[in-house]
Amino acid sequence: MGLLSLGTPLHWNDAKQYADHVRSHGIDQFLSVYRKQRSRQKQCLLWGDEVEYVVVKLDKENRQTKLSLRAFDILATLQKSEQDYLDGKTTQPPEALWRPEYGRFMIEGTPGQPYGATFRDLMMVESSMKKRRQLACAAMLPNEIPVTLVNYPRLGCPNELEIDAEPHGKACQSMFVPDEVINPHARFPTLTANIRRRRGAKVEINMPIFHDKNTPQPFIDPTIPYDREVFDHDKEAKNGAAKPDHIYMDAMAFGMGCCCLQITFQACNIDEARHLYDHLAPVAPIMLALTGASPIYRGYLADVDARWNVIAAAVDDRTAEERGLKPLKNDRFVINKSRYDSIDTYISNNDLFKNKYNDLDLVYDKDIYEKLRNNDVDDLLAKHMAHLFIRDPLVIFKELLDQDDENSMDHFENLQSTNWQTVRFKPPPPNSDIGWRVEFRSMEVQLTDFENAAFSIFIVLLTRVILSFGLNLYIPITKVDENMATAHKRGSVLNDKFYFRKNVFTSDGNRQPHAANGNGHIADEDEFELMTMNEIINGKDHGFPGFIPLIHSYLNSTNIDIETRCELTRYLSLISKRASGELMTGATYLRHLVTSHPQYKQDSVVSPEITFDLVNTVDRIAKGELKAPELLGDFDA
Amino acid sequence: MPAQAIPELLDIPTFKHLTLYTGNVMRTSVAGRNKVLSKKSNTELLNAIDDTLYTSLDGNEPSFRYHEQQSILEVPDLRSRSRILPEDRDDVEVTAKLFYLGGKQENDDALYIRSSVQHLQKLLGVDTIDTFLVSLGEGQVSSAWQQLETLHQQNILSKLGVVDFSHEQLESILSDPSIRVKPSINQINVDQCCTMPSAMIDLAKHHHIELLHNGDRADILDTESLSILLRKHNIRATVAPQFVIKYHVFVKCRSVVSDKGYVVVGDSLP
Repeated sequence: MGLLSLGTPLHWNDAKQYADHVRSHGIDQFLSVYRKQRSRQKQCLLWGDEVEYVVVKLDKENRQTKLSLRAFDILATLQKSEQDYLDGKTTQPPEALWRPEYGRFMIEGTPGQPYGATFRDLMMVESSMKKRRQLACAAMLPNEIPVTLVNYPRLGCPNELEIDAEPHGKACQSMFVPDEVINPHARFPTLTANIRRRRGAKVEINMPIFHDKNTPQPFIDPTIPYDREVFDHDKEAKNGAAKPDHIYMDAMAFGMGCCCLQITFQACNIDEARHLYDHLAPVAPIMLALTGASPIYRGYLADVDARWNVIAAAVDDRTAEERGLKPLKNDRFVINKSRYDSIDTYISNNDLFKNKYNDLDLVYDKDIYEKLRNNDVDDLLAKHMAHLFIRDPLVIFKELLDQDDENSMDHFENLQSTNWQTVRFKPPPPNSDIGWRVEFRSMEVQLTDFENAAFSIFIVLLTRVILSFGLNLYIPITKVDENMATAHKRGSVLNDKFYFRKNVFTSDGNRQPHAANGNGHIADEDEFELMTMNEIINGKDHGFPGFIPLIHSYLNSTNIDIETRCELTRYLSLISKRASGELMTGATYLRHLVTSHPQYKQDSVVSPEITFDLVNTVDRIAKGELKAPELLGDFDA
Repeated sequence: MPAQAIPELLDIPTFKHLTLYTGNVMRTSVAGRNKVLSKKSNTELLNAIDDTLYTSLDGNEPSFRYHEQQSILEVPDLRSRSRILPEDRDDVEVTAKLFYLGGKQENDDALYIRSSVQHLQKLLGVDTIDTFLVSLGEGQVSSAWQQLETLHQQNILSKLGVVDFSHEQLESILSDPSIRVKPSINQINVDQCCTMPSAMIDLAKHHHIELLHNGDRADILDTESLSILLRKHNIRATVAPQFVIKYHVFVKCRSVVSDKGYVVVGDSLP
């Protein structure tokens, strides 16, 4: 959730006057790093995963769950070993690093040290994650558990918080969640309130409800207090913000309270970082669909399996003018997407890139673009930065307005870290050995550490495959966006198709035998087609070999030992079976837990009793106490 | 679009020996076409040979070299350069695997080892090879191994390895006093992960031997398959493969396979 600076955050009315200051210095800071680091070569692969958890109070005696708001205290305990190490009180480096997240009910854990490049490093991932779960548990009260659910199913329903509070907070002004759900660090409530102030309205999130046999048609949500008059913004729901047949949510917490699985890895130089960024962008929606594990919102079963659009709407600070609803008067641009969404432009200047892939009309700041170009930044990278910098900084700390641009990246990070995209291109921090990195951000956290490890390892191996085979995964950006929409659909892994490049091998050129179709016509080497998840992951008979077979082929081209090879095969097999439908996705499994519950009334309602059983079940599965053959087959959690 | 032109007969001289370089199969999609996962296979080599012959001979500008004195036909794949830059040499691990296929002469295996090392030194622009594996039949270990030991002593080869050795064979070579440089690798195939060879694993651990995955058939190329491919590309010859070198270059700190290919050496049959 961005870096946590200290100080007094400005109210939006005061912050907006400094927007240009922050942007201008942010670009200067980028240029400083770019100048110093653009020629850095031969950096090794180092990478890490980030796993997020929700903290739940599980009362087995009364069969009740509450979302625990004690993350702040829990983190203090968890961070002790890191603090002791930094203070020199111990030479033992921490096994895990813990960070706060948006929700006061969330914690985030990363490995104590980055993983290296070897296959043995891949074997450490699952045990690192399991250790983190143990450490988190140990830092909690006896009846609290860390759960890797994408979201707590009844967030926003009454009486679901420990400790409970009325939704009367000034920062959120939500009808459903109180300010108490937000991390108390000044940054988060300010971010929340400034998004609302800038937008001129509350955020508006509507996810289609899953219509079951007894779900009313149309579905008008009876749990929305339409006539509340605590805040002016309360009228928005009845004035159209709450759509019929949808689950309406009105706060940042519904989005940023979701847990994901993120992977960051270091490239050998800036060009490789840009290259991997581009080729992972089309992979993002594929992985969003495959890891989909969020079918429930505010106590209702939704008709979507994934969280991305919820978060996109939850931080959408665009004004009505920027959303194209009113003519431009006060604002500079009409912007097509929320600041949380999939990328709008490819950035690699490698031979494989062609201009036609960037088929979105990119909105960017022309002055910033010119400044970057005048400072020797090439067209694609300049456009990328100038596009990120169309946004306003939302949280400005008064004390940190003046910075040394040669040694600080704070202003740059202000904009960089509040453009939340499917992949993120990360310049090196100043005065550090850390190099150019890419962050892969679309995956949803899985119920067990085995799955989280499998997906993390899959992504890392995929990057090695892209580099080793020189794969070309480019499809037009607009098609990547269509895939993002498809990825949300309930059961998309089994029921839908995704756009994917036909010929991913670059050196084949006009090689007839494999490019020609029946009547001898040579296919356009840029062609893409609709493929099923199974075809993309496991391959087609006469066509794309599939990500899993490519990974196996890559492994067979190395000096890998038999034991490591077998272990990796285990993880790859999980991915393979999720794609083929032999095993359920997380979303499908969670749906199944709800719909097969004896108290479920076939009305899309996920009641507190159902929630208790769901949370208890997934916790037991993650601990290895309960088998889940539909989800994990013969694999152990 | 014109109908596929019938390739004309190339003006290829009669040759006694054939050397064929596949170039980097990672970059030509050949390596990516394998759908066979754990079973031993030679599809990659056959596809690579086919691919190289197509690119080198079927185009408008055929590229091959004929060395008249020794009657060697060399088919290089010129699409990718395999030379490793001196400044990059320490970043990579070069592995070679020799498949001994033909020849019944007693010193053939030693000769083939020397020859493969020379081929790779020239092709990759290196003096040394980090890992050298030999895939031999029974009873050929001695003379081949002596040659490997010599090259090891000259610091040309670092790690030496055997392929598909059974527990007995491994024990035998480890306890053989005439073998001074012991193998540090045994490359084996494990078909099903649930049946790991525990005795082998224990033996290997005890002697610090790496057990690497073997995905290749020992009889990786035979006369018939090679000759069919040659004839498909209008070379009228029957060639018996003598040996095949499989090599790959691995960038250590990034785990990237930057190069992988084969060198096929064969003799024309009358």
